[in-house]
Amino acid sequence: MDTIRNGLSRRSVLKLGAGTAAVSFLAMPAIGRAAPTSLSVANGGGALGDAFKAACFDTFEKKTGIKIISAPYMEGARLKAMVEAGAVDIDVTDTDSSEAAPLAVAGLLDEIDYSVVPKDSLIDGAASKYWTSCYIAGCVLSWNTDSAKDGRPKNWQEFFDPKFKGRRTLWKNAAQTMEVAALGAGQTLDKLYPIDIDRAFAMLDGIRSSITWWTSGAQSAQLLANGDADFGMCWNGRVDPVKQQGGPIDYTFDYSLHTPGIWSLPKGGRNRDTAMKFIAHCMDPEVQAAFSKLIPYGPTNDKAFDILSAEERARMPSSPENRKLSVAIDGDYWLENGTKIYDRFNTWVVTK
Amino acid sequence: MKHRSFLLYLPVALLLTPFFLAPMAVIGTESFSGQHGVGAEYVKVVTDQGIRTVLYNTFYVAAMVTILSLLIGYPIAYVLARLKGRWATIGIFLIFLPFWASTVIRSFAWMILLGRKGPVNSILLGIGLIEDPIRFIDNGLGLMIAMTYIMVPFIVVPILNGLRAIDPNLPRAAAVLGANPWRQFLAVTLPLSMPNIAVGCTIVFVTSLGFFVTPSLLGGDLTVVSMLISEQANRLLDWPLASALAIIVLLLTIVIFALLRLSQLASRRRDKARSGVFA
Repeated sequence: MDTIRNGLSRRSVLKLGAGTAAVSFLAMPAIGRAAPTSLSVANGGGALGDAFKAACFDTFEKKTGIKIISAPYMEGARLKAMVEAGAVDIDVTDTDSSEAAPLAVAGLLDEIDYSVVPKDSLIDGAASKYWTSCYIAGCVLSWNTDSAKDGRPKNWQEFFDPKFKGRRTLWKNAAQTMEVAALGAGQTLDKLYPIDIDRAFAMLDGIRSSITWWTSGAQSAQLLANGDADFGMCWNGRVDPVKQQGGPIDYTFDYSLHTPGIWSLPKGGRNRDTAMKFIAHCMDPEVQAAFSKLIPYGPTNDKAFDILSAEERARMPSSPENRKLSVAIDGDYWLENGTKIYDRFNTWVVTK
Repeated sequence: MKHRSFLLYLPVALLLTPFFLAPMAVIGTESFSGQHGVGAEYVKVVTDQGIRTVLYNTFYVAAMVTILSLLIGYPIAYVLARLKGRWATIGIFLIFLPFWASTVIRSFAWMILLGRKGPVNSILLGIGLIEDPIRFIDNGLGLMIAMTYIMVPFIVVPILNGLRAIDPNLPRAAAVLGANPWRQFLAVTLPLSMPNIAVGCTIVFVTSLGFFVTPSLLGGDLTVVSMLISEQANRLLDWPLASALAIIVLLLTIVIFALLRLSQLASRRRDKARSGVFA
């Protein structure tokens, strides 16, 4: 302290500071180029996290020696805050495409480098500019098997027919719920977008008094298994395990919505090159098949289906057999129309 | 003297400035940074029918939960205050026992208990009190039950402290003067515990405004503002609107407490005037 106060002028201290900054600036690219010893990958955790760890993380570490550190799920708001603060400590995140789309538009994601990530055998729509789909989840028509003894709705039109008695459980969320309502109104899978919003709301009007809302996947399966609802829209990854454990619940992939789970890179991440290699690794057919054996989400690499048995394929929304009667959620549509439709949907829910 | 008492506020200021005032300033600024012009978010919050209903729901649920918690919590605190030694410790331990499980799990449990075919409806149907299952989880009823269950300990503790601080000679004196137990309670114990009731109700009301998990699982068609803020902040990335919603909730809360405080001051002044007659 004394030396600074007595021996150095204010100006020379400033110079010293500037010099140090310059040196560390020059040193930075060298640090950046060195391969990291670990990557932070945010994901949903739970059964999904377990499948990621066994199929993707551990195999990547074995192949490259780079350890994958699993981080808690990145909500949109957290990712935005992290990127805008310039403190990006997450290299790769797993979300669904409808959450990633607004992030991409806001300039918070890095582009995927398809010279590193192989996209030739990926299914349609999997290789997007700002993300790569790594699995396909299905939003499926599900039912309680006890309630279904007297018959169950075979499609969304019957589901939304007020003459069909029973409690329905739906996601309290505009995206996906508007899609199934539109299918209920008779829009076809190939012409689902743009959604006829007025007709979709008319469908919801018709069954309003028999709706039980859910807000989380675990809740939807619970409501159906308990018999609190007779039939509903659920994610296949949630109803399938309950069915496998012998719960009174079943579902069909007919008229299902495909929602891709995706890998994306928060902008400004320090380990971009390695992160890209990690995504490439996750597109490997062997890796994807191993993943889909652990959790019933379908591969995005068509070659992975060759490795899976017919029985295993029957549980995958995106298998060649199951994808015939399905439609992929259109992220761009929601990006353009989301605010307006969410406002109307939220108002509809609370206004009696 | 005045200077020195001002210094006593310093620790509070040091705590509140970085952890409350500064973040609020950031949120306040954010709320005016929308693309649709300055203040457009506030216009939307005030005029949008859906958002207004959501705000009404939020304050309605918080008020109902506060009233129910007080009605259930006061008798519990009253009994606990009369327990001695080990029994008092066990009583307080039991009150806090539910905290060993997370709010998520407790809310999920209520969802199952109050379901269409859950135990509560089964019992009510079994003894013939109702003919059709009550739709607890669809209309907000279950939400208020579960939130009250979670909030009761928060009102028991301050009231318990208040009741214990009351000089036991005061109700005795009232008894000597001929007051029956009910009148002793109304004329002595209840008024003396009023400040603690106010503290307990404030804690319950303000905490209830911010509930998120429980309304997500048990809200039914009753959406509360925390869910809307989360959707705007996370899914639609509309931070200006999410911030405006947060600021409006803060302002409404401040207004409610300012009105309460004013009515308190007014009644105190009335009491003083009344006692002045006898002085």
